[in-house]
Amino acid sequence: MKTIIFDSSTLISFSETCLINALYFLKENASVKFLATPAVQREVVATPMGIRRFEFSALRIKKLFDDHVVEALTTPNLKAQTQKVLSLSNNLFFVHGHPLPLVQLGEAECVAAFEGASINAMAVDEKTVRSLIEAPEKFSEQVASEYSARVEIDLEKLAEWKAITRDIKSVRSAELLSVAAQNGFFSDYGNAKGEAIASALYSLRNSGCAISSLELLEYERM
Amino acid sequence: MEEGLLLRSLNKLSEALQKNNGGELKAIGREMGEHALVDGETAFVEIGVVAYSANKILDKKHLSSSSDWQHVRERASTRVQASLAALRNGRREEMFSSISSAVSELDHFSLSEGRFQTSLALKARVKIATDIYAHGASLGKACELTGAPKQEVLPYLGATKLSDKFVSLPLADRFSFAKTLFGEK
Repeated sequence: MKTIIFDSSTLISFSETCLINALYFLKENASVKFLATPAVQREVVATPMGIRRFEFSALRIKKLFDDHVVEALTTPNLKAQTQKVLSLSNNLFFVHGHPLPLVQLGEAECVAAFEGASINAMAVDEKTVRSLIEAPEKFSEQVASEYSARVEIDLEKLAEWKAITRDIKSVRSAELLSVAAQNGFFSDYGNAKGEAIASALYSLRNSGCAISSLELLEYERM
Repeated sequence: MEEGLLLRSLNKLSEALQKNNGGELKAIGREMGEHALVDGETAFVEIGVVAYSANKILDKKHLSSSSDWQHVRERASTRVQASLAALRNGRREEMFSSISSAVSELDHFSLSEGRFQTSLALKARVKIATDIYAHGASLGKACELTGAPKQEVLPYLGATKLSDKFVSLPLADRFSFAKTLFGEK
């Protein structure tokens, strides 16, 4: 069985685009486990609950937990490991001698969870944590253009960061939906199946999934 | 935290508000995200929210020609000056509460006189969060610093071209890996 841990950005993207059933579909059709950390669960359920314009989306995500499609993760060392992740990730890059605080609790918990549990991938739609895991040096170059000042890297911390994230792989809602599509999630759409898949991917992008225009075109060609 | 930068920012805001200087307010609104991230100081966000909201009000004739606007602007301006005085005297809590009161003044006015259900302050927070995200912060960190809900920031990000800039792996590799996660049951 493969295990995927979810960041809040991916759960929100699925919920906001009314594609949350894709997660039910994937769970039903494959041997896979979906997890979320306590901070992520708070962000997507407890925090928006009671705010009318977000509440329906929160209820849809809550139902994922109630239906055991996504399960709450608890590992004994999560707190301590999360602090380590926060301390590292927020001291990698410096501007004017100030460390850039890049990562927040929920995202750090997702990374930290890999230490105490057997997890195969992290589902994350936002770009920072994903880029820091996949290509931190390239990420620093991409970010540097936003600053008039020089962005400095703490190479020792970066090596440490790379060591703790070495085995982490990530997926976005776009990949999860594409796999679901390949396995028949859109089969009810008949001849319009191709259009449904492509437009659903655009909906995910419009809901914040960090997928580029070129990648969307590539998916359309698949 | 760089006190000097915060003082200068508050000063600029105070002058721009008093002079109804839309261009300067817009420029201040644009700068504050970077300062908030680099300095880890949320007061910069509040300064940005005041600047953005005031500029938007000046942009909209039905708001800026309202008889209440001059009173609201004066009250907001007084709060900004109080914030500046508090910072000069080292009273940081008072500095923050005063600038937050200026935000509330403009927010209340935009909600009661404006045509949208979303307040200008919320729009400003979303915009500043997007700027902070562009400066490298994660979505969570950008929302934490600005107080903007992720549910509001995500669709705004989706409408930008930011994701075109941050490509770290070839799509074919991503998709191949994703398929390996979903073997037969």
